[in-house]
Amino acid sequence: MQWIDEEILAQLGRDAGEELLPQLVAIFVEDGQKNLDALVNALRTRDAEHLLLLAHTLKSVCATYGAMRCHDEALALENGCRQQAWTVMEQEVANLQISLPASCAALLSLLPAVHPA
Amino acid sequence: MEYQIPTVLMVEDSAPLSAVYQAYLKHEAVTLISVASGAEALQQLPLLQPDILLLDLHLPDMSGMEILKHVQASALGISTIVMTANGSLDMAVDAMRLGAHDFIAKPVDADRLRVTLRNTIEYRRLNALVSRYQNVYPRDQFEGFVGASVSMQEVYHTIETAASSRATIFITGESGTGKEVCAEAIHRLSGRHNRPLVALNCAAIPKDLMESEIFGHVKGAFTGAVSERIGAAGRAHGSTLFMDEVCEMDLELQSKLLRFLQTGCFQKVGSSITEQVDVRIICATNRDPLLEVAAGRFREDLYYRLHVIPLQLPPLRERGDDVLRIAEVFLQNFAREEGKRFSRFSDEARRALLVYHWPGNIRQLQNAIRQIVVLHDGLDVTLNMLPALLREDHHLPAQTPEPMPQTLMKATIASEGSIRPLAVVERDAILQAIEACRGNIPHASRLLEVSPSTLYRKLQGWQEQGLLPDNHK
Repeated sequence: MQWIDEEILAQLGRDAGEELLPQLVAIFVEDGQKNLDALVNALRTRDAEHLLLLAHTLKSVCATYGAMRCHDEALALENGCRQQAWTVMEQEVANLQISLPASCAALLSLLPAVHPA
Repeated sequence: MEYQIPTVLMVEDSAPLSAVYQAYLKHEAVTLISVASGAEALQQLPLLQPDILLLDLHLPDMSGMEILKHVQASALGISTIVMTANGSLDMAVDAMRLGAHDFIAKPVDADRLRVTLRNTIEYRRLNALVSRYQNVYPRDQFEGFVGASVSMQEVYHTIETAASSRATIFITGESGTGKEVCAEAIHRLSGRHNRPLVALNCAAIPKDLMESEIFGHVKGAFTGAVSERIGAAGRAHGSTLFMDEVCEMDLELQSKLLRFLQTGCFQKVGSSITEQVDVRIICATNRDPLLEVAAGRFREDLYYRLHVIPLQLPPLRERGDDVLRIAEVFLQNFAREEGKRFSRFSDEARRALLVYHWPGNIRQLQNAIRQIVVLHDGLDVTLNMLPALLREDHHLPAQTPEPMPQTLMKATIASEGSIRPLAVVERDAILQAIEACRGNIPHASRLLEVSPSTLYRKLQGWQEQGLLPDNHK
């Protein structure tokens, strides 16, 4: 599975305006790192409630930007939080530690394609 | 009319989503302001007074539902569109029940967001248009009220706009101006109308029983408490509690009422169990509540807790032609009930109705028309059919009463044979006081140190029992 669904990203460009896409992606990348830190911290302090809120928000953000692999992992994390399944939560946070930076990198690399300079 | 660009306050904690939604709406004719937390939203709401609230239900510091409840309770007139993830549609339904205008599922589709926003703006525009037409073409009847005067249009508008809120309404107005009709109208137009309105007259219940009437009691709580009783607060759960004559309430009980209003919790008399209820409060008084506060008879903190949406009912003498409209409705209804032919008032009778100052307001007018219909018949109500008080020119300001008759100033009991039943003495004292005040019942009630409604109730009761002398009918 690819990190980014390019069709969703292209649709975002059409809906939001192609000229705004680099700015939106920059916000996603900056927020992604903050989210990742918050996820790791919430897991470390065993704060399932906060982890649930973070996963829930991340799920919506990733779906909007086409980061569907992260979306699926955030969804699995959200479900794990609801079931208090700590093994699942640990696994999904570990997955997101890989997929989120990778998705950010993929998004940045795709920008010239969806928004030629 | 000048068009104002709607202000939209967006509450979205995620920066990437907030940026996307702002981009989706960049060409819309709105002023969009974005905040990232519930606390910021609550701070901005009174400052910005937005037209539309675009609200994420999952916020880091509080639930969006809390903000929605605040918006509804404050009666700010804001249309709220909630945004929630596809898997949380139950929350969206709950939000709609709480008064949200619409909802959008996440991930938010750009077109859906724009269309929903445009629809909401259009809905608000049409609503405002309807309100303006209602102001241009005044209504002459509204939810039990009759009257087309400007002052009543304002009353109707306040009732309509405040009904859907949970905010407390404080109705003031002289006795007989329709405070209970007003409370019933608010309840009927509210989302609580499926459950009955619970009404409590604080002046009609002895002080010692008042707490039990409001909060209920457990078996054995006091002498005579032979079984458990649910009070008005418990019965009004999910509905509206109307507390009439609230200024008559004893100070000690006022503090308990304040606690109940602050927390929604109460304890039955004699119980240590705290119960929580969801009750919308409407209260009313025929006194000036601020004067009662100044005199130390009404708690200031309770006043401010109750005085959220004030609603002043105008006295009948300040409602112009409304007196004729109301009189005609009463005439038709009573004539039908009594099998009489009356259909209109003569010109002279109309003039007399218009110039009289109606100290007892609509209740007095109602009694007068009932009396006319019962005692007379014909097509027209003529001047000579009107009660004596109306036939004379009583359009006078409150006058200094003549000195009280000696019989009132000093009880004169010369012998055992001159002792009269207490009820008769009370009736004579009240009727003489009213006479001394030239029929001005509020004035007489002040001198007798009772509420005007007490006098009206007594007069009505005596009239029904045939105990009123002719000059008081």
